[in-house]
Amino acid sequence: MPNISAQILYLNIALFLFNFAFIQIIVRKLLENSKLKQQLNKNPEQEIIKANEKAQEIIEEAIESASKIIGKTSEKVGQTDTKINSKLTQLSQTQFSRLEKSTEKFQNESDKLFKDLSDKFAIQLVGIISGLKEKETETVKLITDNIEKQILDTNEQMVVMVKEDFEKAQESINKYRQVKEQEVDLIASELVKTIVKKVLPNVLSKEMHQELILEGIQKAKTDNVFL
Amino acid sequence: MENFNCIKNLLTVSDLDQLRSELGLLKDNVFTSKEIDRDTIVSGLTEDNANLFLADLKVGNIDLKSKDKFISFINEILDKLEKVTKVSLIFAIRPTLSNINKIQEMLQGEGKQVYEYKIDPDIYGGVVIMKDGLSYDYSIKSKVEELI
Repeated sequence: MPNISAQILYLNIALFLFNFAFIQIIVRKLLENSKLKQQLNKNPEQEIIKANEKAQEIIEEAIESASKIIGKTSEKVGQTDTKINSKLTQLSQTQFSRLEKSTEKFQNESDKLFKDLSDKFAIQLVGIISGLKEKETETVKLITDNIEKQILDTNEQMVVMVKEDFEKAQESINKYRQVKEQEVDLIASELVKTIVKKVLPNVLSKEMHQELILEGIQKAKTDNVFL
Repeated sequence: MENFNCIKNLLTVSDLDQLRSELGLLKDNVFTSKEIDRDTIVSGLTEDNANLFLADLKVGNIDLKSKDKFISFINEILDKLEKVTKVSLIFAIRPTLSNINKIQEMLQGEGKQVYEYKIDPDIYGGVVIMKDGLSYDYSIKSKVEELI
């Protein structure tokens, strides 16, 4: 089967040929009409019959010519289709083989490129890893040094802190001791007062009281309290 | 007149308060009465105070007919009374009468001041003297506290 574009092309060609034949018939008929007009003036009825016959002949002739043209065209179309099909097949085979070659070439180039890149990357990676290893060693050393330094610093700080804490604790203990001592003193003095208050009235006789009064007055007098 | 007999013989704060009260009433009576006579004076004062006051009038040569002079004489005594120093003596127990006499003897000649006696067992013993708003502590309590 010819493809659609080819069919349209052939159909256009056929129409063109048919039009061409139809125009020839019309031109011819116009020429004959001019002759018929001249003849009609002589014998109209016979001329009309002759003209009809002639027209019939022309039409049949035109139909026959057109049929021939169409037949030839169809044949031509069929030949052309075959040629086009074979050309198309050939073309597609050619293109396919080219495509296969291109694909193969691209595949090869890609493989090569990938391999190159892989090799380069592997080399770079090895370099990076070895660099990293070196850096890692340095970093580990740095970290170890830092940790040692921090431990030493921390130890010193701890010593200072412990010392400060100890001093604070000692200060707080001293304060607490002072407060407690004051409390104990207070309790003791209160206790002594209570004891004195309870014991003295029983111990001091009236005479002793009177003596203490006079003694106090005398002392005040000596101190010039009454002046 | 510097020294009134009625003031000179005062010993205690209560004596002073009594004399002041009596002189105040006498002054009021003099205001209301037409004449001032000896009976008016004697009826308004206790016996001791009346005798001493009459003695003072005599010494001061106060004419009883002059009401103004009499009242100003009373006012002068009252002013003096206000200036007498009051001393409080605080003891742990009530002192005996003989002890009070001994105290009064001891305080004679120490300037004109009157005394009042108070009891406070919390001082344990001895004496605490209050004078002119100050405290002089000769108590056993202060001695004990000093020892503590």
